[in-house]
Amino acid sequence: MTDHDPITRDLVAAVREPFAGVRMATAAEAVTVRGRAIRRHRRQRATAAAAAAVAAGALAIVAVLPGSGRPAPVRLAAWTVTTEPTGIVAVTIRDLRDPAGLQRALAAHGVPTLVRFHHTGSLIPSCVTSVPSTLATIEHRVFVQPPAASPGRTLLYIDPAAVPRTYKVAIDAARGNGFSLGLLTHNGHCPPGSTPGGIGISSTPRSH
Amino acid sequence: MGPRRVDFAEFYAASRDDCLRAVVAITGDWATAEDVVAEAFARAWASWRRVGRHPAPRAWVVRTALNLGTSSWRRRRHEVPGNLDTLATAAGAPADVGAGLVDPQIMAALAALPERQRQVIVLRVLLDLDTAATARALGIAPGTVTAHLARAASALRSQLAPRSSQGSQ
Repeated sequence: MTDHDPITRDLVAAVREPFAGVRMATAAEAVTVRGRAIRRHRRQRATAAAAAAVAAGALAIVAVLPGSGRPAPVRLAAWTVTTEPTGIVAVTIRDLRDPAGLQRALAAHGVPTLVRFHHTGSLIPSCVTSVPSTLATIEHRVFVQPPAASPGRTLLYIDPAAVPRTYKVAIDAARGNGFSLGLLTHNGHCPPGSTPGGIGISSTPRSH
Repeated sequence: MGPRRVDFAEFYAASRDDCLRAVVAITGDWATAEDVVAEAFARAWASWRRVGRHPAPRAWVVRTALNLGTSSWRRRRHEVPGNLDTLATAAGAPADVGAGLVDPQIMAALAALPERQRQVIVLRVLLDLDTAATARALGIAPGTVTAHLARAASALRSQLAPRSSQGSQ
Protein backbone atom coordinates (compact mmCIF):
# COMPACT_ATOMS: atom_id res chain seq x y z
CA MET A 1 0.00 0.00 0.00
CA THR A 2 1.94 2.97 -1.21
CA ASP A 3 -0.68 5.70 -1.14
CA HIS A 4 -3.09 6.96 1.46
CA ASP A 5 -6.18 4.85 1.27
CA PRO A 6 -8.68 3.07 3.47
CA ILE A 7 -6.78 -0.20 3.30
CA THR A 8 -5.31 -0.81 6.70
CA ARG A 9 -2.98 -3.58 7.70
CA ASP A 10 -5.73 -5.46 9.48
CA LEU A 11 -7.91 -5.38 6.38
CA VAL A 12 -5.02 -6.53 4.22
CA ALA A 13 -4.43 -9.41 6.60
CA ALA A 14 -8.12 -10.25 6.74
CA VAL A 15 -8.29 -10.52 2.96
CA ARG A 16 -4.88 -12.02 2.21
CA GLU A 17 -4.51 -14.64 4.86
CA PRO A 18 -7.53 -16.75 3.89
CA PHE A 19 -6.04 -17.13 0.41
CA ALA A 20 -2.62 -18.29 1.59
CA GLY A 21 -3.46 -21.90 0.79
CA VAL A 22 -4.45 -21.16 -2.81
CA ARG A 23 -1.55 -22.21 -4.99
CA MET A 24 -1.18 -22.59 -8.72
CA ALA A 25 -0.43 -26.23 -9.53
CA THR A 26 0.30 -25.75 -13.23
CA ALA A 27 3.98 -26.29 -13.96
CA ALA A 28 5.93 -23.56 -15.72
CA GLU A 29 6.82 -26.04 -18.45
CA ALA A 30 3.14 -26.62 -19.25
CA VAL A 31 2.64 -22.88 -19.57
CA THR A 32 5.57 -22.45 -21.95
CA VAL A 33 4.46 -25.41 -24.07
CA ARG A 34 1.07 -23.80 -24.40
CA GLY A 35 2.71 -20.42 -25.06
CA ARG A 36 4.69 -21.92 -27.95
CA ALA A 37 1.47 -23.31 -29.41
CA ILE A 38 -0.13 -19.87 -29.16
CA ARG A 39 2.78 -18.26 -30.97
CA ARG A 40 2.70 -20.94 -33.64
CA HIS A 41 -1.02 -20.36 -34.17
CA ARG A 42 -0.45 -16.63 -34.36
CA ARG A 43 2.16 -17.13 -37.06
CA GLN A 44 -0.19 -19.44 -38.91
CA ARG A 45 -2.96 -16.90 -38.66
CA ALA A 46 -0.63 -14.14 -39.84
CA THR A 47 0.45 -16.29 -42.77
CA ALA A 48 -3.14 -17.15 -43.59
CA ALA A 49 -4.15 -13.50 -43.31
CA ALA A 50 -1.31 -12.48 -45.61
CA ALA A 51 -2.29 -15.18 -48.08
CA ALA A 52 -5.91 -14.07 -47.82
CA ALA A 53 -4.90 -10.47 -48.46
CA VAL A 54 -2.92 -11.52 -51.54
CA ALA A 55 -5.83 -13.64 -52.72
CA ALA A 56 -8.29 -10.83 -52.09
CA GLY A 57 -6.07 -8.44 -54.00
CA ALA A 58 -5.85 -10.85 -56.90
CA LEU A 59 -9.58 -11.34 -56.87
CA ALA A 60 -10.11 -7.58 -56.79
CA ILE A 61 -7.95 -7.22 -59.86
CA VAL A 62 -9.86 -9.99 -61.58
CA ALA A 63 -13.14 -8.38 -60.58
CA VAL A 64 -12.43 -5.20 -62.50
CA LEU A 65 -11.58 -7.10 -65.65
CA PRO A 66 -14.37 -7.35 -68.21
CA GLY A 67 -16.37 -10.53 -67.92
CA SER A 68 -14.99 -11.49 -64.53
CA GLY A 69 -17.29 -13.08 -62.01
CA ARG A 70 -18.01 -12.02 -58.48
CA PRO A 71 -15.08 -12.91 -56.20
CA ALA A 72 -15.77 -15.66 -53.73
CA PRO A 73 -15.37 -14.75 -50.07
CA VAL A 74 -12.00 -15.71 -48.60
CA ARG A 75 -12.33 -18.01 -45.62
CA LEU A 76 -9.73 -19.28 -43.20
CA ALA A 77 -9.52 -23.02 -42.71
CA ALA A 78 -12.37 -24.33 -40.59
CA TRP A 79 -9.91 -26.30 -38.51
CA THR A 80 -6.20 -27.02 -38.19
CA VAL A 81 -4.50 -30.17 -36.94
CA THR A 82 -0.85 -30.11 -35.91
CA THR A 83 1.38 -32.53 -34.08
CA GLU A 84 3.52 -30.86 -31.47
CA PRO A 85 7.12 -31.91 -30.84
CA THR A 86 5.88 -33.72 -27.74
CA GLY A 87 3.61 -35.91 -29.89
CA ILE A 88 0.48 -34.17 -28.66
CA VAL A 89 -1.98 -33.40 -31.44
CA ALA A 90 -3.38 -29.87 -31.26
CA VAL A 91 -6.72 -29.24 -32.93
CA THR A 92 -7.93 -25.72 -33.58
CA ILE A 93 -11.57 -25.54 -34.59
CA ARG A 94 -12.73 -22.22 -35.99
CA ASP A 95 -15.86 -23.29 -37.76
CA LEU A 96 -18.01 -26.41 -37.66
CA ARG A 97 -17.45 -27.43 -41.26
CA ASP A 98 -16.16 -30.55 -43.01
CA PRO A 99 -16.26 -33.08 -40.14
CA ALA A 100 -15.21 -35.89 -42.49
CA GLY A 101 -12.12 -33.93 -43.50
CA LEU A 102 -11.24 -33.29 -39.85
CA GLN A 103 -11.74 -36.97 -39.11
CA ARG A 104 -9.35 -37.90 -41.93
CA ALA A 105 -6.79 -35.30 -40.84
CA LEU A 106 -6.87 -36.57 -37.26
CA ALA A 107 -6.47 -40.14 -38.47
CA ALA A 108 -3.43 -39.03 -40.47
CA HIS A 109 -2.01 -37.62 -37.23
CA GLY A 110 -2.59 -40.94 -35.46
CA VAL A 111 -5.87 -40.15 -33.74
CA PRO A 112 -8.72 -42.53 -34.63
CA THR A 113 -11.73 -40.26 -34.46
CA LEU A 114 -15.41 -39.95 -34.95
CA VAL A 115 -16.26 -36.32 -35.71
CA ARG A 116 -19.79 -35.05 -36.02
CA PHE A 117 -20.96 -31.48 -36.41
CA HIS A 118 -24.55 -30.33 -36.24
CA HIS A 119 -25.81 -33.81 -35.59
CA THR A 120 -29.27 -34.07 -34.12
CA GLY A 121 -29.17 -37.57 -32.71
CA SER A 122 -27.57 -39.04 -29.65
CA LEU A 123 -23.81 -38.99 -29.46
CA ILE A 124 -23.72 -42.57 -28.31
CA PRO A 125 -26.03 -44.92 -30.21
CA SER A 126 -26.78 -48.37 -28.90
CA CYS A 127 -24.04 -50.20 -30.76
CA VAL A 128 -21.15 -48.31 -29.21
CA THR A 129 -20.12 -47.71 -25.63
CA SER A 130 -18.30 -44.84 -24.01
CA VAL A 131 -15.31 -45.45 -21.85
CA PRO A 132 -16.44 -46.94 -18.52
CA SER A 133 -16.24 -44.72 -15.50
CA THR A 134 -13.74 -47.09 -13.94
CA LEU A 135 -11.35 -46.13 -16.73
CA ALA A 136 -12.06 -42.41 -16.60
CA THR A 137 -8.37 -41.70 -16.15
CA ILE A 138 -7.91 -42.83 -19.74
CA GLU A 139 -9.83 -39.75 -20.85
CA HIS A 140 -7.58 -37.69 -18.64
CA ARG A 141 -4.56 -39.02 -20.51
CA VAL A 142 -6.15 -38.72 -23.97
CA PHE A 143 -7.45 -35.17 -23.53
CA VAL A 144 -4.25 -33.70 -22.20
CA GLN A 145 -5.99 -30.70 -20.73
CA PRO A 146 -9.54 -29.38 -20.73
CA PRO A 147 -10.53 -27.71 -23.98
CA ALA A 148 -9.60 -24.06 -24.10
CA ALA A 149 -11.06 -21.40 -26.29
CA SER A 150 -10.87 -17.83 -27.25
CA PRO A 151 -13.56 -16.06 -29.23
CA GLY A 152 -13.86 -17.67 -32.61
CA ARG A 153 -11.88 -20.83 -31.99
CA THR A 154 -11.63 -23.85 -29.78
CA LEU A 155 -8.47 -25.74 -28.94
CA LEU A 156 -8.23 -29.41 -28.09
CA TYR A 157 -5.10 -31.30 -27.12
CA ILE A 158 -5.11 -35.03 -27.72
CA ASP A 159 -2.44 -37.61 -26.95
CA PRO A 160 -2.72 -40.26 -29.70
CA ALA A 161 -0.53 -42.68 -27.75
CA ALA A 162 -3.06 -42.71 -24.92
CA VAL A 163 -6.05 -43.74 -27.03
CA PRO A 164 -6.80 -47.40 -26.25
CA ARG A 165 -6.48 -49.68 -29.27
CA THR A 166 -10.17 -50.47 -29.65
CA TYR A 167 -11.40 -46.94 -28.98
CA LYS A 168 -11.99 -43.86 -31.05
CA VAL A 169 -12.04 -40.26 -29.94
CA ALA A 170 -15.52 -38.82 -30.36
CA ILE A 171 -15.92 -35.13 -31.10
CA ASP A 172 -19.50 -33.99 -31.36
CA ALA A 173 -20.37 -30.34 -31.76
CA ALA A 174 -23.24 -28.16 -32.78
CA ARG A 175 -23.32 -24.40 -33.04
CA GLY A 176 -24.72 -22.99 -29.83
CA ASN A 177 -24.57 -26.32 -28.02
CA GLY A 178 -20.87 -26.64 -27.41
CA PHE A 179 -18.66 -29.69 -27.70
CA SER A 180 -18.94 -33.18 -26.34
CA LEU A 181 -15.76 -35.21 -26.17
CA GLY A 182 -15.26 -38.80 -25.22
CA LEU A 183 -13.97 -42.22 -26.14
CA LEU A 184 -16.17 -44.74 -27.90
CA THR A 185 -15.82 -48.40 -28.72
CA HIS A 186 -18.01 -51.19 -30.11
CA ASN A 187 -20.09 -53.17 -27.69
CA GLY A 188 -20.81 -56.00 -30.11
CA HIS A 189 -24.41 -55.00 -30.75
CA CYS A 190 -23.95 -53.18 -34.03
CA PRO A 191 -26.07 -54.54 -36.88
CA PRO A 192 -24.06 -56.35 -39.55
CA GLY A 193 -22.66 -53.99 -42.13
CA SER A 194 -23.36 -50.90 -40.08
CA THR A 195 -19.79 -50.27 -39.05
CA PRO A 196 -17.63 -49.97 -42.13
CA GLY A 197 -14.19 -48.72 -41.27
CA GLY A 198 -14.60 -48.77 -37.53
CA ILE A 199 -17.26 -47.31 -35.29
CA GLY A 200 -19.57 -46.36 -38.04
CA ILE A 201 -22.51 -44.46 -36.71
CA SER A 202 -24.93 -43.80 -39.47
CA SER A 203 -25.97 -40.22 -39.29
CA THR A 204 -27.28 -37.52 -41.51
CA PRO A 205 -25.77 -34.16 -40.67
CA ARG A 206 -28.28 -31.39 -40.48
CA SER A 207 -27.71 -28.89 -43.24
CA HIS A 208 -27.18 -25.25 -42.28
CA MET B 1 15.93 -16.53 -26.13
CA GLY B 2 17.61 -17.66 -22.91
CA PRO B 3 17.38 -14.46 -20.85
CA ARG B 4 13.80 -13.87 -21.99
CA ARG B 5 12.72 -17.29 -20.80
CA VAL B 6 14.45 -16.81 -17.47
CA ASP B 7 12.65 -13.51 -17.01
CA PHE B 8 9.31 -15.14 -17.66
CA ALA B 9 10.13 -18.08 -15.42
CA GLU B 10 10.97 -15.72 -12.58
CA PHE B 11 7.80 -13.77 -13.19
CA TYR B 12 5.72 -16.93 -13.25
CA ALA B 13 7.27 -18.30 -10.09
CA ALA B 14 6.76 -15.03 -8.25
CA SER B 15 3.29 -14.20 -9.53
CA ARG B 16 1.32 -17.32 -10.28
CA ASP B 17 -0.16 -17.84 -6.82
CA ASP B 18 -1.17 -14.20 -6.41
CA CYS B 19 -2.76 -14.13 -9.86
CA LEU B 20 -4.73 -17.30 -9.14
CA ARG B 21 -5.84 -15.91 -5.78
CA ALA B 22 -6.97 -12.70 -7.43
CA VAL B 23 -9.02 -14.51 -10.07
CA VAL B 24 -10.55 -16.85 -7.50
CA ALA B 25 -11.39 -13.88 -5.26
CA ILE B 26 -12.97 -11.92 -8.09
CA THR B 27 -14.89 -14.73 -9.77
CA GLY B 28 -15.41 -17.24 -6.96
CA ASP B 29 -15.06 -19.81 -9.73
CA TRP B 30 -12.79 -22.59 -8.56
CA ALA B 31 -13.56 -24.89 -11.45
CA THR B 32 -12.00 -22.79 -14.17
CA ALA B 33 -9.81 -20.27 -12.35
CA GLU B 34 -6.59 -22.24 -12.72
CA ASP B 35 -7.34 -23.02 -16.37
CA VAL B 36 -7.88 -19.41 -17.34
CA VAL B 37 -4.93 -18.16 -15.29
CA ALA B 38 -2.66 -20.77 -16.90
CA GLU B 39 -3.93 -19.76 -20.33
CA ALA B 40 -3.34 -16.09 -19.50
CA PHE B 41 0.23 -16.87 -18.42
CA ALA B 42 0.74 -18.82 -21.65
CA ARG B 43 -0.41 -15.78 -23.61
CA ALA B 44 1.92 -13.63 -21.54
CA TRP B 45 4.75 -16.00 -22.48
CA ALA B 46 3.78 -15.81 -26.13
CA SER B 47 3.88 -12.00 -25.98
CA TRP B 48 6.53 -11.64 -23.32
CA ARG B 49 8.48 -9.05 -25.26
CA ARG B 50 5.48 -6.74 -24.83
CA VAL B 51 3.96 -8.02 -21.59
CA GLY B 52 7.35 -8.07 -19.87
CA ARG B 53 7.53 -4.31 -20.33
CA HIS B 54 4.00 -3.76 -19.07
CA PRO B 55 3.95 -1.53 -15.98
CA ALA B 56 2.00 -4.18 -14.10
CA PRO B 57 2.35 -7.56 -15.84
CA ARG B 58 0.48 -9.34 -13.05
CA ALA B 59 -2.50 -7.07 -13.66
CA TRP B 60 -2.21 -7.91 -17.36
CA VAL B 61 -2.40 -11.62 -16.55
CA VAL B 62 -5.38 -11.22 -14.24
CA ARG B 63 -7.19 -8.98 -16.72
CA THR B 64 -6.56 -11.51 -19.50
CA ALA B 65 -7.71 -14.40 -17.30
CA LEU B 66 -10.92 -12.57 -16.44
CA ASN B 67 -11.56 -11.87 -20.11
CA LEU B 68 -10.98 -15.53 -20.92
CA GLY B 69 -13.39 -16.49 -18.18
CA THR B 70 -16.18 -14.70 -19.96
CA SER B 71 -15.33 -16.14 -23.34
CA SER B 72 -17.73 -18.04 -25.49
CA TRP B 73 -16.18 -21.37 -24.59
CA ARG B 74 -17.22 -21.09 -20.99
CA ARG B 75 -20.75 -20.36 -22.06
CA ARG B 76 -20.65 -23.41 -24.31
CA ARG B 77 -19.06 -25.49 -21.60
CA HIS B 78 -21.90 -24.85 -19.25
CA GLU B 79 -24.39 -25.73 -21.96
CA VAL B 80 -22.97 -29.25 -22.30
CA PRO B 81 -22.42 -30.44 -18.78
CA GLY B 82 -22.27 -34.20 -19.38
CA ASN B 83 -19.05 -35.21 -21.03
CA LEU B 84 -17.32 -31.95 -20.33
CA ASP B 85 -17.86 -32.33 -16.62
CA THR B 86 -16.34 -35.78 -16.89
CA LEU B 87 -13.40 -34.32 -18.73
CA ALA B 88 -12.93 -31.52 -16.27
CA THR B 89 -13.00 -33.94 -13.39
CA ALA B 90 -10.61 -36.26 -15.12
CA ALA B 91 -8.29 -33.35 -15.76
CA GLY B 92 -8.25 -32.49 -12.09
CA ALA B 93 -10.60 -29.53 -12.14
CA PRO B 94 -13.86 -30.58 -10.55
CA ALA B 95 -16.32 -27.84 -9.83
CA ASP B 96 -15.59 -27.70 -6.10
CA VAL B 97 -11.85 -28.14 -6.26
CA GLY B 98 -10.14 -25.91 -3.74
CA ALA B 99 -13.43 -24.74 -2.33
CA GLY B 100 -12.34 -25.73 1.16
CA LEU B 101 -9.05 -23.87 0.95
CA VAL B 102 -10.46 -20.44 1.67
CA ASP B 103 -12.61 -19.38 4.56
CA PRO B 104 -16.14 -19.23 3.16
CA GLN B 105 -16.75 -16.02 5.11
CA ILE B 106 -14.22 -14.02 3.13
CA MET B 107 -15.51 -15.53 -0.11
CA ALA B 108 -19.04 -14.56 0.85
CA ALA B 109 -17.94 -11.08 1.86
CA LEU B 110 -16.17 -10.56 -1.45
CA ALA B 111 -19.06 -12.03 -3.41
CA ALA B 112 -21.43 -9.60 -1.71
CA LEU B 113 -19.50 -6.61 -3.08
CA PRO B 114 -20.48 -5.07 -6.41
CA GLU B 115 -18.21 -6.44 -9.13
CA ARG B 116 -16.16 -3.28 -9.62
CA GLN B 117 -15.57 -2.84 -5.91
CA ARG B 118 -14.49 -6.46 -5.69
CA GLN B 119 -12.07 -6.02 -8.58
CA VAL B 120 -10.60 -2.89 -7.06
CA ILE B 121 -10.01 -4.30 -3.62
CA VAL B 122 -8.61 -7.55 -4.94
CA LEU B 123 -6.15 -5.81 -7.23
CA ARG B 124 -5.13 -3.46 -4.44
CA VAL B 125 -4.82 -6.08 -1.72
CA LEU B 126 -3.94 -9.37 -3.38
CA LEU B 127 -1.83 -7.96 -6.22
CA ASP B 128 -0.59 -5.00 -4.18
CA LEU B 129 -1.20 -2.57 -7.03
CA ASP B 130 -1.33 1.14 -6.27
CA THR B 131 -4.25 3.32 -7.26
CA ALA B 132 -2.79 4.35 -10.61
CA ALA B 133 -1.95 0.78 -11.65
CA THR B 134 -5.37 -0.44 -10.54
CA ALA B 135 -7.01 2.32 -12.55
CA ARG B 136 -4.98 1.38 -15.64
CA ALA B 137 -5.75 -2.31 -15.22
CA LEU B 138 -9.47 -1.71 -14.97
CA GLY B 139 -9.65 1.13 -17.46
CA ILE B 140 -11.20 3.55 -14.98
CA ALA B 141 -10.15 6.85 -13.45
CA PRO B 142 -7.95 6.89 -10.33
CA GLY B 143 -10.65 8.85 -8.51
CA THR B 144 -13.12 6.09 -9.29
CA VAL B 145 -10.70 3.53 -7.87
CA THR B 146 -10.45 5.56 -4.67
CA ALA B 147 -14.21 5.79 -4.35
CA HIS B 148 -14.75 2.07 -4.99
CA LEU B 149 -11.95 1.23 -2.59
CA ALA B 150 -13.45 3.24 0.24
CA ARG B 151 -16.84 1.60 -0.20
CA ALA B 152 -15.37 -1.88 -0.55
CA ALA B 153 -13.14 -1.49 2.51
CA SER B 154 -16.04 -0.23 4.57
CA ALA B 155 -18.29 -3.09 3.44
CA LEU B 156 -15.62 -5.70 4.09
CA ARG B 157 -14.92 -4.35 7.56
CA SER B 158 -18.55 -4.57 8.48
CA GLN B 159 -18.82 -8.06 6.99
CA LEU B 160 -15.68 -9.38 8.63
CA ALA B 161 -15.98 -7.67 12.01
CA PRO B 162 -18.31 -10.29 13.52
CA ARG B 163 -15.82 -12.91 12.49
CA SER B 164 -13.08 -11.22 14.52
CA SER B 165 -15.27 -11.04 17.59
CA GLN B 166 -16.25 -14.67 17.26
CA GLY B 167 -12.62 -15.66 16.99
CA SER B 168 -11.70 -13.83 20.19
CA GLN B 169 -14.42 -15.36 22.25
